[in-house]
Amino acid sequence: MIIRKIHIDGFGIFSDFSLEGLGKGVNILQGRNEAGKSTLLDFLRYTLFGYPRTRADHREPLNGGRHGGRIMVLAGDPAREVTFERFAGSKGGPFRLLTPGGESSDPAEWNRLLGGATGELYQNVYAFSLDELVSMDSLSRSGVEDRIFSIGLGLGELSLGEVEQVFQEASDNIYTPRGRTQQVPRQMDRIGYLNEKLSGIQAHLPHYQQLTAEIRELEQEAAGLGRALQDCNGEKGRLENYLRCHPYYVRIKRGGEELRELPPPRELPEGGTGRLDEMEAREKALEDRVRGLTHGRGERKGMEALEQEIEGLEFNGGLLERAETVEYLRENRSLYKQEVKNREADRRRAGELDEQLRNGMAAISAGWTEAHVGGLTEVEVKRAKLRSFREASADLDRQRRDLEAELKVLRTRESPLHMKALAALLAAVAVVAAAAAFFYGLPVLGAAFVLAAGILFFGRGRLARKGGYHLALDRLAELQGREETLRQQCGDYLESGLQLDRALGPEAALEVLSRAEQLQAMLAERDRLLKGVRDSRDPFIADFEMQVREIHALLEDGDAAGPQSAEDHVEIAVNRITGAFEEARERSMKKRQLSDELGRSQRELEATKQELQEVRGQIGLLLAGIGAEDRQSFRDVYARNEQVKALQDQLREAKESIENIAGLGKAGEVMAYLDAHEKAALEARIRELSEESARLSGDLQQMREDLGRKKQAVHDMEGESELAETLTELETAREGLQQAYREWLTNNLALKILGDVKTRFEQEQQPEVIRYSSRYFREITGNRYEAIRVSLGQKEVGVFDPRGVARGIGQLSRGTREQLLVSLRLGFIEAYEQKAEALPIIVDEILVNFDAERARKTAAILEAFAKDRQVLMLTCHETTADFFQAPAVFEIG
Amino acid sequence: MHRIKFIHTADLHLDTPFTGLSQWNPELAGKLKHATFNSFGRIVELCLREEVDFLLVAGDIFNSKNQSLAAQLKFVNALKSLSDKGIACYFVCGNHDPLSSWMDQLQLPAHVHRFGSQEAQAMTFQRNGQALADIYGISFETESVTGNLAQKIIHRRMGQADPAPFQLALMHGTAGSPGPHRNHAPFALEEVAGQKFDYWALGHIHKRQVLRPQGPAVVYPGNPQGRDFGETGSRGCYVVELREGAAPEIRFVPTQAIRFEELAVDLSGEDSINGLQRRIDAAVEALQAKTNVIIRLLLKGQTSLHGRLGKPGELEQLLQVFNEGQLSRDPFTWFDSIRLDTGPEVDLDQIRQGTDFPAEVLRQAEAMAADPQRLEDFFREAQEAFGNPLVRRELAELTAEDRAAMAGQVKWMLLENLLTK
Repeated sequence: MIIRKIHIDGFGIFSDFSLEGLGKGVNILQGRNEAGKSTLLDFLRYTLFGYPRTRADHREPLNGGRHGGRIMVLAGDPAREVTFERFAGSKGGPFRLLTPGGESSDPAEWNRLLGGATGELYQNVYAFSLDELVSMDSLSRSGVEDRIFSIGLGLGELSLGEVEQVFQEASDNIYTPRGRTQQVPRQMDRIGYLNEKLSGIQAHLPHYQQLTAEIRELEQEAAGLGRALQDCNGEKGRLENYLRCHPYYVRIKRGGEELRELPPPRELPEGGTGRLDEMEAREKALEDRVRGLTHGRGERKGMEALEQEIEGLEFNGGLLERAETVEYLRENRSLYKQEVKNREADRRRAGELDEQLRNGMAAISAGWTEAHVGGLTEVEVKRAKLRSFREASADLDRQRRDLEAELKVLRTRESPLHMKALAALLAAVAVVAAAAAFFYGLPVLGAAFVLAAGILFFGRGRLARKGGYHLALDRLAELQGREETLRQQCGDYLESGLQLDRALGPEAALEVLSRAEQLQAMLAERDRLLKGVRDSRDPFIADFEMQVREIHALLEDGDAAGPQSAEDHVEIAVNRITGAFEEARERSMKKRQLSDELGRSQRELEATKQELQEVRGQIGLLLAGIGAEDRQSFRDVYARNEQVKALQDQLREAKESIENIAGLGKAGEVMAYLDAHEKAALEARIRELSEESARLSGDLQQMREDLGRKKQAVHDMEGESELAETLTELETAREGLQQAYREWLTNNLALKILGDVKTRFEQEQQPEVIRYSSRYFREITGNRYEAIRVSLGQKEVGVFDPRGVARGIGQLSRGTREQLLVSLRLGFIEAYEQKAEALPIIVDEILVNFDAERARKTAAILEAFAKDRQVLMLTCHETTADFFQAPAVFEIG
Repeated sequence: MHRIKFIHTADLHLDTPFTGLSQWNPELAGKLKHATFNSFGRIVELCLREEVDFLLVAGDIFNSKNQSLAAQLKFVNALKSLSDKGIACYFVCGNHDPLSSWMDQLQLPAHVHRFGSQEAQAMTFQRNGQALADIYGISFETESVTGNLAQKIIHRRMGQADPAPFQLALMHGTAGSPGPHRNHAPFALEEVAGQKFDYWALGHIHKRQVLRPQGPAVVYPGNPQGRDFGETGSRGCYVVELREGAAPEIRFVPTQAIRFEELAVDLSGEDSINGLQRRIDAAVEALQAKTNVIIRLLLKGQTSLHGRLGKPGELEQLLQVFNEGQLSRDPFTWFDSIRLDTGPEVDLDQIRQGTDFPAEVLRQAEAMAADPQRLEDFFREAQEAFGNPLVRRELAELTAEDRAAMAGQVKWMLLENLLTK
């Protein structure tokens, strides 16, 4: 297949890009860095073999255009023109085959035209670049060998060793002959464990059957044993009861003998000794009381003591009889004290008032006495009279002074006539003015003037009215006369009415009258105080003191005269009186109480003695009732009777006890048995039975425990079954083992197929590849190396020089290794194309690490190789073209 | 007109394990271990609910090989609850629970009748003192019975005077072509046709089937609880009503506690995990299980997900997502395993036409898968290299289908590794 023309609608940096004129032989596509050489390589691959699955690798158009394009080729036999068209899209992208005959979208047709080559093969073998050579260099020696070997198989970059390793590892994870940690040994361990567990569970069934049979047998045996034990325990219990009855048996026997020796019991009144005891107790109590009343007991005084005490009690009876007076003195002693003080104060105040009175009277008039003061009556009338004199005098005085002032004014005015003439003149002027006003046609003004003239003229007389100076002088003289008369009247009144100096005047007289009034009040006060002392205080004080003296005289050490008048002494005396009075009263009361008590004791003594007599009588009757001579014999009769009865009771109780133990109505049986058997024999038999019982119950207990265990075991087995679960787990483990086995088989089958194909390739295809490759390698290295050898088993690649000396890959230089790689690819392509369509080979900068000579030789080989094929060489070096004889050179970008 | 109503079941296989599970989950195990009992418990409840006259159990009540004590005890206990209600039970023993394997100590409740193994026996079901049905049956004495038990029953009936209105046969065995079941009381269907029986209640075959609807009806109820992925689908028992002069009325009632299903989901063209989930959900939905279900999932088809699904741990993670919280649901849907039969999205034809290494590998793998002899040779040889005799004893024999399926898988494994790197 020869590419003739490339047209890119849009792909990477290319947009509407065309490359024409490509043909058979070496085509050098030359361009600087980033001109798009690698992009072009991808375009060719994608268009022919489909776009990759990952969109990121699609190389979206950067400069517009539909993503994709066309490649026009000459293909087929005979060769014809075909255009491969493809655009980016899912599943490789939509494509069309355009031929002169029409178009087709048949993928089979497309594949046929490509000779059945896959994208992988094309990329691995036909299109190789410097990048790939560089990556080869970084591989380890064995990696390089593996890679070279893969290339030899047409696998390109894929490492067959790695693929084999994937399957081998998967297989080894499952099982290796001596491994212990792989899936298979682990599953086997689990299966072993589960099988063991299962055996345990499955052992249940036979065990269960055996156990149930044993249980039935044991149950029957235990029932028999139970019955024997019951019989044994029954007898043992009966005999034990007899043994417990033995003390009562003995008691009955002895009691019977005692009873036979005693007289038969008498019928006696119930509780005779008790009643005697009671009566004796009462008797004794009464005797004690008599003694107590007479001689006293405890707190209480005896009658003798009481009489003595009453005898010794004395008190002041006279004082007690004056109880009212004593009470009066006690209640009024404070009042007395107050009255004495008040009398003193009153007397002192009266003295002071007397002094003031005398001084006041002397001030008014030398002749004034208390009689004057006391005789002053109708004071308000007199004061009114004096005030009328004073006001009349003042009124006259004022009138006189007014008149004197008027006289002074009148004396200054000379003639009132001048004023009259002036008024007449002004009236005349007004008449003239009125005439002029009327004349000038001003009637209102004229009328005004007329009016004014009238007023002036007719009023002029008033201005000239006459007061008269002389007239005033007359009135003054009259006033002076009246004043003189008033003075005379006033002097008369003072002299006769008030016994005062007539020259004194009304004002001073009023003053005297006020002072006299005050003196009159003092006089009344002094007299009132003196009267109080005389009429009230003096009699009370005298009476009180007299009574004190009188009562005080009644006291045992009292002075008949008592205190005289000093109130202090009076108070002491009153205190003594009240004290003595209280004491006398207390003693009197005490004596009366003691007398009452003595009376009561006497009455009680009488009654007690009476009662004692009665009790003693009753005791006598009681004794006589049973014919006892004295109290002791009475008691003896009763005691014997009690003894007989007690014995009878004991015998009855013992019999009851036996029946309580051995059962109702069994007493006779028990007594008969015990009569017939000694106690020691009974005890021996019981011991025998106890031992038998213990043995039997021990056996039974053991049997029951055994039974319990067996039943529990059966019960456990009947419970939840783990069988199905364990079996299922076991089956699951087996399934796991089975799956591991299948997985192991598939991996081994994969390895087997890989190995088979590899062997066939090595045997059938590789010798040819190696033969072609060796030739190319020899030519490129200028016979430096003779041959390539590949060991089929060990995947070892070696090269040999003409002398037959072998070199490993690691011993080759980098350039030589790359030359070996190019040789292998060319060899593979030559072998591959023996039976397939020749496809264009695309190489990218493969010569850069070659020396000039080997580069030239490689170029020559490529030109020869491209004789019937097409080689597209991508480079950025212009010198690359120089290595070739007649290359077609195309500039890109 | 006389009528009777009964339930026909068989192959209870109480307290037996579940096989073929790929992952052990204790919680699931707790549910599984009760499943056979629960299913039988539902049958007992159904007897009470349907007020049937009696229950027929046609053998294989337990597996004697498992030596389960609980199986016999619980079976008898369950029957006691029927007996208490006056519902009778008739049962025969099959190859898995031959008469000789039953415990001697086991005391059967009243109204429960077990047929002997020496001769066919006849038992008469009476209602209110009136005989309504004669039931003929015979048990397996040991696990292998090559004789014709059906003929024994037919002969026994011939000697019966004064037959009841309905004639029933109860046995465990193989009707029709015996195949691998030669030791399990085989008989030909024609032998019973036309005989004066109304109903042949059979057991042994786990797939339920009505071999003849009438004259007489010949019926396998199948096992009421599937126990592995070979026993998929709905499982239960038959409720049967017989009326004089009418065809038997046979009604299936599912009783299984847990259902097993194998689910194949085609992922062709699918390229997302969400899409995968949707397809699986749709497939589960289509099952309409309506009960607890354990699913073995098979993913098929060429898908871009192939590489991802093949990565170590990927399927385990998917399982974990599917099963998250399932066991606390009622009913639950539990995915036991996911098996991959997917392939990468490559054009096989195109590869086949090539001459390179992958093309040769593909041709070789396909040639291998198509050649059973070569496969068998390879597997025989490989098996000898696998493990020790102890290990090999635990392994199941691979069938030709297994081998072919594995070869198919290998093809994809190889292409995946050779092409997509």
